[in-house]
Amino acid sequence: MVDWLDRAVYGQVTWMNLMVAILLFFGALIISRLLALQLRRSLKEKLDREHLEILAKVVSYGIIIIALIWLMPMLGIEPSGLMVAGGIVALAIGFASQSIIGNLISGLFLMGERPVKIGDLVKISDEQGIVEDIHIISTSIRTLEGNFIRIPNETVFTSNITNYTGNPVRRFGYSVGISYADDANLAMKVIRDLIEEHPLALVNPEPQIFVKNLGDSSVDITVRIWAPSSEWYRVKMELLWKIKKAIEDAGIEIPFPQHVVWFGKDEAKEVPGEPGTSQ
Amino acid sequence: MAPGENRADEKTGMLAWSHQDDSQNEGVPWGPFRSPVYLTLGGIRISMEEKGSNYIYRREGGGETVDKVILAETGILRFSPVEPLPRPPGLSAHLLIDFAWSVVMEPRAERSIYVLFPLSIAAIIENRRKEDNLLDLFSLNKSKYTLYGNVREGLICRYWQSEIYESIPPANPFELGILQIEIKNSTAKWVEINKAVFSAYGMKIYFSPNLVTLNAVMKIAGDQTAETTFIDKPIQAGMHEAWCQFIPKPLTQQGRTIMGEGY
Repeated sequence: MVDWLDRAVYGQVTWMNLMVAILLFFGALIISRLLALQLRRSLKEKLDREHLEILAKVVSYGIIIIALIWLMPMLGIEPSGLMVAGGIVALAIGFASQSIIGNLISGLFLMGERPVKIGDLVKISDEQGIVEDIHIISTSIRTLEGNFIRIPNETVFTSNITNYTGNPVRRFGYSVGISYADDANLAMKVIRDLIEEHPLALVNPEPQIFVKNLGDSSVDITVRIWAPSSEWYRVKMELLWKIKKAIEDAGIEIPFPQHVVWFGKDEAKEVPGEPGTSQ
Repeated sequence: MAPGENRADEKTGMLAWSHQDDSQNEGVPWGPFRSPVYLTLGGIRISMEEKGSNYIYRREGGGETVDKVILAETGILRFSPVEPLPRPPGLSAHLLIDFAWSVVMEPRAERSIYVLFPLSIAAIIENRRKEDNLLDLFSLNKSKYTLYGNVREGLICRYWQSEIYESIPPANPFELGILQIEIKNSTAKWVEINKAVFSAYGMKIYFSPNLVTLNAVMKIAGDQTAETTFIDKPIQAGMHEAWCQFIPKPLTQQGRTIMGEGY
């Protein structure tokens, strides 16, 4: 029995070496499968299915490749020789696929950091839209005009990202100008009542309504409202028109910008700023 | 026959509720109703009529009209109170009750209070074999939302302000439910409670002709932390289990809410 195991299969590789190598390979295969399974279970809630599958495969194949390289000497194959040949090939492929690797690594970092999720309204690299998909190499977004844009993950990773729906709520605001002759307190009450009526204008954080500026033509009232991020645009559109109508219904004027222009001299009237006239 | 054509037989006010004379409320029906049915509920008119071999369901009022054709041999309509549902759907699965008065509670005490909470109503269609399905959802309440917690990780909640009651208060069962909250102050300090947040998952609503109830526990665990859960038990005998819209998910949503941002 022992003699048989010590016999050479080829070169200096014995049957024993071959059997141990096969057993170790199957061991690595089982470990890779178990690890992939464990990854799928533990990251199920944190990663989406597609990315989880990619990660599980990368880990699984990685273990198998490491095991194969480790088993090579046992099978009479010198990995250093392969490494030199492989290194040259890898260098050539590396130069050719520099950007792909960059995008791939950026994709992996993005999956870990998760600055955007599918369905988020974002602005990436001056492109605004809804995230349709996040692949390992690229991220695709649908602009608000309905266009499809594919952004390489390296660009996504190195760009400033604005995620408009990253938080559950967001704030928007208006500036409402009323004439100097009208009551700003009344206008603010009308606006506050309207906001309280709207179901999606949040109670907390509280809306803010205050006179911010005494402008050239109007008393400017600033209105700040918080709404659920998924609904803020609809609320913003609905409330602006309602505020305009309610203010007008309350008899408050929203004035146009006005300039008083004086032509020539009228002795009956004093012209402000004219030399020789009383101040 | 067009919907509403035979309104001479209309049973308007059949579901109307009066808290002036409680005896009038006895037998206020949630159903079952056989076609033709004409009901008025608050400002909402509901009808179900036969048209050929089908039924036409219609709901009008509150700025909304819903029409549905029901293809069934026998259509039986019934109603059930359900959890306050978000509009638009999916917006929120939490209810925040803002106490009109602060509740100040001594250390290591356990007391029950009653508050009101808003309800939605489910119209359910049933066939002869009692196989049922949700037909329509509506509410007599105005909805309002708020954020519990911080802007980064807070919860969007359906907002409702309620007085605090020592006993079961009168309420229109088609509009408001009675929430019994057993408050347990497990800390060694006096606490002041101004609000309670509940998950819609796991709300166990029970109803009778005059009453819709929910039974909850609020455990005060620290200066800023409390936990709310529901008890699957009616607060009075002889109540029926309501239709459930938010089915608890096995692990993630068990009807428990950790209030980590104050109470």
